[in-house]
Amino acid sequence: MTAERHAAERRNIALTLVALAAAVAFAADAGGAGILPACILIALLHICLRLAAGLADGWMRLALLLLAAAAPGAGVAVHPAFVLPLPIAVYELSSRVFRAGWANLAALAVPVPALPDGWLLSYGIAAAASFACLCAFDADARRIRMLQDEREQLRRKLHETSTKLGELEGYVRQSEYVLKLEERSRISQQLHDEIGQSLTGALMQMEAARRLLVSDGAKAELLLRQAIRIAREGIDRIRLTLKQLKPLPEQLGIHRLKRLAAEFEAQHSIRTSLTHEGELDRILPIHWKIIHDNAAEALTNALKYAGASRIDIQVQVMRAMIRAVVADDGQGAARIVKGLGLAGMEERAAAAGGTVIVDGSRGFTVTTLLPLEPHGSGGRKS
Amino acid sequence: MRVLHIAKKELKAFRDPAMLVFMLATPLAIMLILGTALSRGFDKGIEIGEIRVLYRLEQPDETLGQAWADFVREAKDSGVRFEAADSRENGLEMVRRAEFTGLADIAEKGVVYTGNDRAPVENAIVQGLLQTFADRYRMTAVLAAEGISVPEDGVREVVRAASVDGSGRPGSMDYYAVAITTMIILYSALTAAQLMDWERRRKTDLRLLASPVSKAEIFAGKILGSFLLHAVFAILLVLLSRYMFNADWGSRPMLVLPVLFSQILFVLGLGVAVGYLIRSSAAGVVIMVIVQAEALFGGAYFPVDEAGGWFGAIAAWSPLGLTNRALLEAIHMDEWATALRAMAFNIGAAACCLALSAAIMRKKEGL
Amino acid sequence: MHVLEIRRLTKKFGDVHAVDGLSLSVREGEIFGLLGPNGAGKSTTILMIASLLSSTEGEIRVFGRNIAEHPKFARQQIGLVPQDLAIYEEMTAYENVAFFAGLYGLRGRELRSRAEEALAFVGLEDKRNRYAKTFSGGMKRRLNIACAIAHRPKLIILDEPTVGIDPHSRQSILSAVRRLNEAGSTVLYTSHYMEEAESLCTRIAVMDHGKVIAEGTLPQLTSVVTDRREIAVTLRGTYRVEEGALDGIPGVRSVASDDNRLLIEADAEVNNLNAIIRAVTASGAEIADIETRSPNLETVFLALTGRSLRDD
Repeated sequence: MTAERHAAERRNIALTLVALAAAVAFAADAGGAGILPACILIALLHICLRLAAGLADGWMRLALLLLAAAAPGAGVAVHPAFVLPLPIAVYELSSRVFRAGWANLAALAVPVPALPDGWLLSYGIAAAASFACLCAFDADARRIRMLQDEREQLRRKLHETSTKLGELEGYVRQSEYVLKLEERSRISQQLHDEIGQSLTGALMQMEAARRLLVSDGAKAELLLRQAIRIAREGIDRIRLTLKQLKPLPEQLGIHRLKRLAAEFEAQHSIRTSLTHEGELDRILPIHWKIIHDNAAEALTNALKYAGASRIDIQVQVMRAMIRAVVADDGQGAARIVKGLGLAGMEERAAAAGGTVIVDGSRGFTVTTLLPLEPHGSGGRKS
Repeated sequence: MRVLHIAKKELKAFRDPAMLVFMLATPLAIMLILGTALSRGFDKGIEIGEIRVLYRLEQPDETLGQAWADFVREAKDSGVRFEAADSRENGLEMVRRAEFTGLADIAEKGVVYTGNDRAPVENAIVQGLLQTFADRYRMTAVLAAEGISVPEDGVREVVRAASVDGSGRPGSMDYYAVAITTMIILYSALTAAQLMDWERRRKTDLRLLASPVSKAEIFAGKILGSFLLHAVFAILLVLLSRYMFNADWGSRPMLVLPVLFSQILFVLGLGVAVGYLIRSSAAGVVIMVIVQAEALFGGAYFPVDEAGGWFGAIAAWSPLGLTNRALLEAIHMDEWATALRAMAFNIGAAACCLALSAAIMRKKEGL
Repeated sequence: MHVLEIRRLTKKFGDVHAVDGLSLSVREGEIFGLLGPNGAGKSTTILMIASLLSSTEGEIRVFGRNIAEHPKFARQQIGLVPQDLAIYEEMTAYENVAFFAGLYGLRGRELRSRAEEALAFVGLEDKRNRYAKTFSGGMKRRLNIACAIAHRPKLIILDEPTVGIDPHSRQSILSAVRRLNEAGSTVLYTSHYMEEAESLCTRIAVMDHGKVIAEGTLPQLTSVVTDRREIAVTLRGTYRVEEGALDGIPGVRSVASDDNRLLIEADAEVNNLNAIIRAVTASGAEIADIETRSPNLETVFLALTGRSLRDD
């Protein structure tokens, strides 16, 4: 049963109970204790059928509602006070058939000819009150429905956005690769130019010096000195080039992670340690990005929910798998509900063919597993 | 086909000694005990003490006076005493106070009888007697005119006949044979409530659901098997109570079976429905309460058709009571109208309950 | 053709994912193991394959057909041996097997002969007319298997069949599984006992928290973690083996000594135990004990998740 039907059902039953109680009380009061058991029976029958109708669907629901409406009908024969719950039953029936409000209101007039004398006014009041309540309930149900639809739409939009995000990340990765290639070719060009020039020049001087070694010693020395100078200059230039190229230590994967841990510890006063094991240089930049982003997400989560006093980050390189773990010593979680953060981590890892395991049995542990080509060449398995 | 296969498995419950004892030995024992011990309340012959009737005779002529005097004398021998009343008002007052069963006004043109209707049997007897007298007097007068006299022990026959006609009431063994049989059928609601839970407890529901058989087939098979099982028990109870205890199941006992079968269906439906609404062993408790209450109000322990007050009011609504009344009327009075009503109700209620159960089963995961 | 193909199978109970995007495939003729700690989602996965539980997302295909679209076909191909005993104690062994076989459409003479076959296969043919109530635990387990195989299913699923039973019965069940496989059935076997998975299964999927974290043959799985094994040689007395004594042995990566123990790290695939022993004894030492620690599934699971397969 949908949520709005649930809510409407509950309220309808409550209203029915009130009307039944009033009817039984009135009947017992006016008609004496003799008919009380019959009245109670009728009330019970009506409520049971009404509940059963709530559980059923379609034509069966209609049939059960009909039977349920018959109960107060029969009850009127026992004592006319049973006209009180009658409008509710009639409304339930007619609202299955008609949508329009005025049609349901008209339907409430149907039992009027069969009413016992002197009860027209009571029926009218009961009908008016019931109609007002039930209309209000229906309006509420519609509102719930609307909110649910909205929520569904938002959920869908969110999913689309996530997908798009994933695609964009893929595109970014692609561009990164292309940039890397261009960079590499620029570097090789530069090195070629530097080394080529310097070595060729120095070589020429040295060849000349060797030929003049015996005949013109002084000239030879001059030439050698020049060769040394050229070579030294070349080395300096190469050193400069390399210095320009060498990535800042802060940018290397493990160091970036260290910075993340240190900053986190400083900001939030939770002891955060980082350990690593295995050949870290087998980890590609794309892996580092995933490890870093997942770790950042895990740290945020730990801060929000765990109530931990220390967090351990561990990066381990096995023969064919990278394992990155963020574990805290907080309260953990018996059941894990996958929120957007966790879903994001999974998607990141899945892009590289890996997976994320979340365990809440001893504190909270987020393990990212990324597969590696086993021969240590650092290739990426897709 | 698979439905029958599953139904056949249900029948294997015959092997359970506990079930055999419960469904056969226990009811027969209860029938025997209640049937013999409580026979006093069911006497076919109705003990009637001396019936006293007032009469007034207005200026009879000789024939009437003589005929009446003869009649009064013979009636006295058979237990009906006619006494003269001083006045009409006095007489009626005494009748109202139940000191006399009634007042008979006898005149040439006929007899007017005013009786206290709190004593229907006595009234019936007296009225019968007076009717006979009237007829006989007329006939005597006619015959006397012809010169023939009428035998005098005719009155005695009438009185005897009236008192022996027990208006179709059953004896205690007959009553309990029916009531206990229907009660035991009612108790099978307990097994019905556990029908699916039985499989769940043995974990065989996993195997059933993992097989190509559909849930509907499993449902139908189990219900069919249960029905057949209990039908056989019902037939056995009827036969055993008839031949062992001489219980009266009517002149056409085979026609009683459809009514019992309809009750089995109803009880199965009720049990299964409760089992599905309350999906745990609490269902057994609920059924127990319902069954006990029904047995009480339905007349399993003592006849309830004459109970008054709130008890009688509830008893009037009891389905078990309806079936019992239907059977008793059909057997002893050859009245089948109530039986048809009972069958219609039973089958209708069974259909509702089974439909409800099927709907719930289809929605939920598992059996 | 794949007997079983599962793609991105997910099952949510409320907000919790019992199974989360699980994918695997089982090829014909293999014994496929589903290994994982308690609560990993193995039983839930099994229930969904056997159509006992509906999935939230994802699809399961049996012999290429989606089980949601062809439910009867899928169920006909599968024989389920549940973790708990699912038998009728009030009926005889034969009646049990015959009843369940009848649910799969077997009738008459065929039903009788297949039921007898199934009982004979598990070794209960001489007890066919005894009530299941009188059976020992191991016999009941065997009957549990017999009830699943009478209709000759192509895929037999066993859900943790050896939990809590004595070693003797365990062996007989494992051998029954092997025989079933030899007779042509594909077997899907779940367990949290590493030794069973290692000795029995052709391929294994390691599960944790509703996902498959690694899949493959045993050597494939262990090689994910490491290709090394550790050999610990305990020497008698305080004799020290000189450095370099084991250098020439192929496959030896490193040697460390610790008191009277030599800790040798070697390649897992290279069989060099003989050479090591020779080298040690040649240098005059006496070996008191040798211990080899190869990576096994327990190691693999521990390395990947930081937890043990068994719940301590």
